[in-house]
Amino acid sequence: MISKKLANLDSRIVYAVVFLSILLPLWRPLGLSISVSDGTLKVHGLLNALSQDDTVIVSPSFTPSTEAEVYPQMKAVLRHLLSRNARIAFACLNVESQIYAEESMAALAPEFGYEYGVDYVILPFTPGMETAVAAISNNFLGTYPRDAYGTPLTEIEAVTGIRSVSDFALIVDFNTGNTAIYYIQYANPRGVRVVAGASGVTVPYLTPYLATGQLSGLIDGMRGAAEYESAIGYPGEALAAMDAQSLSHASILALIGLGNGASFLSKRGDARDAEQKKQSYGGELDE
Amino acid sequence: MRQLIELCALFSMLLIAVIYGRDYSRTGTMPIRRLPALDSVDEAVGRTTEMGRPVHFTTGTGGMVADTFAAFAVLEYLAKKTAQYECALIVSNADPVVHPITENIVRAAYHAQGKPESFKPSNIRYHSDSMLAYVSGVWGIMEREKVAANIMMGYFFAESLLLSEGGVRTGAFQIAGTASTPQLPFLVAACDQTLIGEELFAAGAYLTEDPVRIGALMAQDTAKIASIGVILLGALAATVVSQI
Amino acid sequence: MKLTLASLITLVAGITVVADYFVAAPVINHAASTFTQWSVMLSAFSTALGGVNLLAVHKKRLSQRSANWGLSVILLASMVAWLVIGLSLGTESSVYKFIWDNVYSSLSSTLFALNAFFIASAAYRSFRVKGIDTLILLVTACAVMLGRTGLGEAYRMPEIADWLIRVPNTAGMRGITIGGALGAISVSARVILGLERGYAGERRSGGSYQ
Repeated sequence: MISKKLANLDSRIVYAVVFLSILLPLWRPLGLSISVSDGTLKVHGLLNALSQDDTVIVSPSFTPSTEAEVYPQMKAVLRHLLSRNARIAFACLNVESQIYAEESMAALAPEFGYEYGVDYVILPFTPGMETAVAAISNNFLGTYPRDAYGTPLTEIEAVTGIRSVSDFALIVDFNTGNTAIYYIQYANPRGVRVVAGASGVTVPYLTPYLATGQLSGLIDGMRGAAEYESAIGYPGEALAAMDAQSLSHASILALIGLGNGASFLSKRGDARDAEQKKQSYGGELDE
Repeated sequence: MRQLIELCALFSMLLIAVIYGRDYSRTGTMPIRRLPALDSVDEAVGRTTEMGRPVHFTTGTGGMVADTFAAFAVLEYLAKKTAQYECALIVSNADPVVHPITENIVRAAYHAQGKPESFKPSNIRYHSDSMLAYVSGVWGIMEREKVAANIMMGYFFAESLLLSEGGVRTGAFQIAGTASTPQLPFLVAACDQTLIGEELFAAGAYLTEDPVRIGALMAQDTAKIASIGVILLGALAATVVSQI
Repeated sequence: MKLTLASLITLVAGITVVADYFVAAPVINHAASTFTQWSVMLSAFSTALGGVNLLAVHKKRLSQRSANWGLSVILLASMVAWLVIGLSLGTESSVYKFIWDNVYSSLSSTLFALNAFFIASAAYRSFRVKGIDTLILLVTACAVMLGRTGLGEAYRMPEIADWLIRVPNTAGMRGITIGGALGAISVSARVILGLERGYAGERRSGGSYQ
């Protein structure tokens, strides 16, 4: 029975449908437009209000596994930060963070005339996640006596005048886990605003903090990255990838609909068969 | 002032824990409702024993957080059961600190059951703190060793769905438990039984019937009721103020 | 309560860090800050310890010619090669970057991308309407998914999705988070006070209040 087969569809067919729905728009873009959400606008507004005297912590707390979703957010935000001439300190909570900081600045610094040490600094990897954020918030200079390349922080112009975490104008955390919560917990009470860029799955977890104002802005997954690119007027990789995300979501919705339809028909068929059997047994008994 | 109120709340919780713990020691009346996910741990061990295949346990990539401590109580219970029924238990770790602790727990449980010779240190495995290597390692175990039950308790990140779908592919009976809210929907969708949020923290008390753990659980619930009261009061006050 | 050295260290460190939050005394604040710095160092040390553990386990498998020992050879060879390249040439070297971009990063992204297929498969299996509650779950999930795409723009789906995440989701998340946090306080208090020693492999499971 076809409805029964569909109700228990082989996972590989589901995989193939999703794969094609991602692949096709990358080959033939649909060019769907998107609106900019409130959370993204808040981040954009805060960055727009920065001056060149302000120093911002940028924390690339994601890993290669979620790079596709979060890295485009970071690139778009960095482009905006550099256009505002803000000074940047990269805090590295993951082993991989330093590579993202180096790679993104290697691509953007020449365009905006940024110089390492003068306009930005990369702080060394600090293990421990929650304890690392607590250490940064409690004692910034004690946690970072030197930068990632061994230069004493006192000799680095980009962080002149920074004594504690409260001296930063903003913390921008790009995460796929709990790091934004840690910054909210330990750094926010010391008077520094925290905004986050997060993978789509983490967003429902962070939204309660947005409502209370503990998180001052939130960029939501691939769509958020595309929104930010659209807000700064620089279409990049996220806007290009949005079509693939849109179509893959649509394909999953279609599959859910198909699964439900098949399950409904299969159950109805089973009930009809049972009824027929009952009737035929009933007939035999009557005879 | 805020800190003082919070400190008082903390001490009240400790006091309530002691009172309820003493009360349980005296009366022996179990105050916890049934948790089907924990009841099914026995079913999982029974199933694996019948099939002659191993049971797999993991705490995720969360490291030494409260969820992992709560998961240790489940591991302790599970290890005692597997020792009792002579069923193989494989533990996969993604955190170098969690690894020796899980080894200690399983070893102690086998000793407690009088089966020290059945304990195999090589079944307690550290893969890597990189999600890629950890998930690949667990998939390998599930496929090669034909795991019949997969128990995932602790703090999970994106590996939750990768691991549980790995279990679905091998047809393993799956029980999960986490307070990591972003991962709960995935675990609920892919696993047979799931402990949601604070249910994981009740696991130790539920499985061991230890008065200290039961007292702490009751204090936790009392604090939750008090929180609901404070939230309602705050919402009411804010509404009244906004109307004035 | 049997106070071992480990319990004593746990007690002192735990109470100092908790007190740091409640008390504004320089001695306690400084001590808590020192403990936090130590914790960062311990985390770094444990990462190295994990590497040593991995080396020891696979060296043993190799020397005993255990099943699949060939995989241990591959693991050890890649581990040593990656370590030597990273330490000798640095993370900015072209060789390191080549391996990073073409092996580690690609494999990690691929593995994470599998989630898209897995969630589709899990949704196909489990998102079946069996009653009013599953129907609500299905409609909500569909609305949020459509709201995250360009396809839903015309039907104000982003606004609906945003409301769903901002209001009902926030309410549920707060409930679970408060419950989880209270559970974490309870477990942490037991660990600090030495009442939870099961993790040390001790046979005690709590004690008695009697």
